[in-house]
Amino acid sequence: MTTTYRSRSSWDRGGRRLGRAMIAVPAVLLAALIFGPLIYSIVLSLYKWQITDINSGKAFTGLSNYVQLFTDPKVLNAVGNTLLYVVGSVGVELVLGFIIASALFDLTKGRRLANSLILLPMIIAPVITALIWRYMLDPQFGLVSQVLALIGINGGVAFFGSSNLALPSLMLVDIWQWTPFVVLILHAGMLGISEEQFEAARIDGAGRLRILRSIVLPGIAPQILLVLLFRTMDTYRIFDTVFVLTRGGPGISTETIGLYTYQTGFSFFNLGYAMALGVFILVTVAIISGFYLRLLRRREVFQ
Amino acid sequence: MFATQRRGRIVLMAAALSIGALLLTSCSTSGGTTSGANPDTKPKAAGGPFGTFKGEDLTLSRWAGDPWTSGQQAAATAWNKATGGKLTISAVPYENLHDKQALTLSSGNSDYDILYVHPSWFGEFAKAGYLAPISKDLADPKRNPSGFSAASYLPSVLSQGAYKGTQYCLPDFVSTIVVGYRTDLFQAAGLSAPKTTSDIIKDAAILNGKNGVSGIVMPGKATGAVSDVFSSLLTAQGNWWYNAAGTKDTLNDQAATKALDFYTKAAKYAPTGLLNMAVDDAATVAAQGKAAMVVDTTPSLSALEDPSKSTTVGKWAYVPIEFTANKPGGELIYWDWCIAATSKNKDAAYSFLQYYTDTEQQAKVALAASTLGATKSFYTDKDVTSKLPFLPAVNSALSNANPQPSLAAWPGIQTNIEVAVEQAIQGKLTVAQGVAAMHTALKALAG
Repeated sequence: MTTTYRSRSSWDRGGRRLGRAMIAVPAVLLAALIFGPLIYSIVLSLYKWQITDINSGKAFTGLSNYVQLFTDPKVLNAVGNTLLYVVGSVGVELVLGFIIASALFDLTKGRRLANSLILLPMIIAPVITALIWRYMLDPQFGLVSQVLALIGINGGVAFFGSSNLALPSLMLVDIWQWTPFVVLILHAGMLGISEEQFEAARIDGAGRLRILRSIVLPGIAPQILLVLLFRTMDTYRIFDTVFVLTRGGPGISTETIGLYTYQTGFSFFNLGYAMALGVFILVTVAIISGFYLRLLRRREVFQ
Repeated sequence: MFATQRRGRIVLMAAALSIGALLLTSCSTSGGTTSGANPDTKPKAAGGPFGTFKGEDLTLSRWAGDPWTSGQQAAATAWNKATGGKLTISAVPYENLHDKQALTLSSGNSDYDILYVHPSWFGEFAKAGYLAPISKDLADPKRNPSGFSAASYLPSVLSQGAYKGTQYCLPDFVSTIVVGYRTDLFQAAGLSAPKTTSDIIKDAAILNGKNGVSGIVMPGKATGAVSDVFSSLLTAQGNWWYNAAGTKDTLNDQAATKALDFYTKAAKYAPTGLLNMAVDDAATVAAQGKAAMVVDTTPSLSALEDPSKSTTVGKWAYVPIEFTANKPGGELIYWDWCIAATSKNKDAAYSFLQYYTDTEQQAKVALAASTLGATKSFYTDKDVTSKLPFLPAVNSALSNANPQPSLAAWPGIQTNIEVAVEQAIQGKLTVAQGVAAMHTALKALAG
């Protein structure tokens, strides 16, 4: 008996060791892949490195790139544009997504078809989406301008050529593409609420709005936080749509921090400063994500 | 006994290996050509490539974009057939080309033989030793058509491919900024051809809004073309951004004010959405009959005369930019064909460079894509001159030209200059503030 117990115990220990050893290899590899480039980027951000000057090496300049970052007016403008873009896009996507998900939740027939159709924009690559909207909103030849001309608004509207309209137009593209993602998550959350709660509410005489406010909204709060987390992270790093549609213009009215980082690195070839900007994006995204994750943990989502 | 035999075998093997190595060496590359190849073989037909290069595989690095890439593919196929060599084109998007070339060349293990180099990074590559000199090849009568030499190229363009007195590259893709105007609309309004920038603004004001046509269109999006137009406006006034060494701001306030004043005034008669129009967008607007005048690069202007893209074919005439009558000017836009210093097929690479940049091939490129050659005979080629209506305007503009900036700091400076122009058009900066912003941008020249 004792022998059997001992041999099983040593077998278990051996199995655990083998398990740890097997996990260790991919874990070390994964850590190297994640932290290697990250640490290298942080190190490079402490150097002045102009890659157009191949023969001059990297000069260590300490925190000077970070000092420049906090005094660079273009960074302030880019962060401002980015925050406006995040708040505008994610806010509208959340509200619209909730309304559409609620409507889908109430559907009894054709829910699957509606679900499939709603998801279509999300399937298209962002660059293709940007090009579609570029042609749709072209003031000379775009579909929207042609429709506007039918109701007497001639000459077209400079959606991407006006500093007042360019950022909202970019938000519109993001909202069109990513509201389906919000719908998908919130609708899944709604489907997870037990039917008994709705029946009890109806027996108690609760109306539609009351059910939405008192049962649905609290029931999908974790999903709302998840959506906020993913969409905030995504929109904060926005680059492709802006690059294709406006390149930050007119002037610098749509220059986001992602685009400014790209230009610094790959248009102006100032790699050290671009790395500092990259680290800045990483830290700010980590802070925002950390805030959401704390909220999520409080709601015991991951427990 | 056995030890002696073994030693003897080792000596024999070493001798055999040495002979083998010697034979291999004699068969392999000897600087520029493999044995069996002959770089001096004359072409079978006039305009064909020099040399035979059987067994030589070459890689050409360039940007991806038609009709240029496909046109060059056709030239490469013809060159392969004529010389027995094999030239493969490696094309990447323009925005990735510098990084791809720089990183590949800096590794020291590049398989590139021919490089298409933009002026903005030519100096950097020449300084770093990535390019092979071609002066000897260019002067060698055995490797060039009769009478062909450095003197066959436009000196102002060829000199852009030289670094510290050594010729490294041969140019092509010559273009500049000119003004196109609709002859039918001008005639109907009783206007004569615009001669100066003042005429352009005056005529744009008269023609703007008639039958849904805007007075003028030009690039307004910060993609490099705004800077090209502005550079042409400066050149036409005898001014330039910086000194010959590229270290000092030489922007003249009066010239810059006049240029920015022209841009902002013209923008008032431009179609909606000007600030999001790149070169192709501006040309499309003009080609579709929505503007009476267009200021644009010549490759883009080819759309106006292309029946598949234009509803206004044959209705355009072209003039150079002039602030004062008979004092034209324009920025010289071009690209450089260079040979990689690490190439093992330099003779074959030069054969292709000479073949492709000479008039016969460049005439084909010009008719397909409206970029011009850099040889003198190109501009007297009857086929070209009869089919490219803007050629006289280009010739005139390039009689007073400044080459597109090729400084390492220029991309950053250019962006800030273009932002200043855009902000002046929007009224966010006055013309004086716009000029001041350009001076601020030019401070980066000092490094």
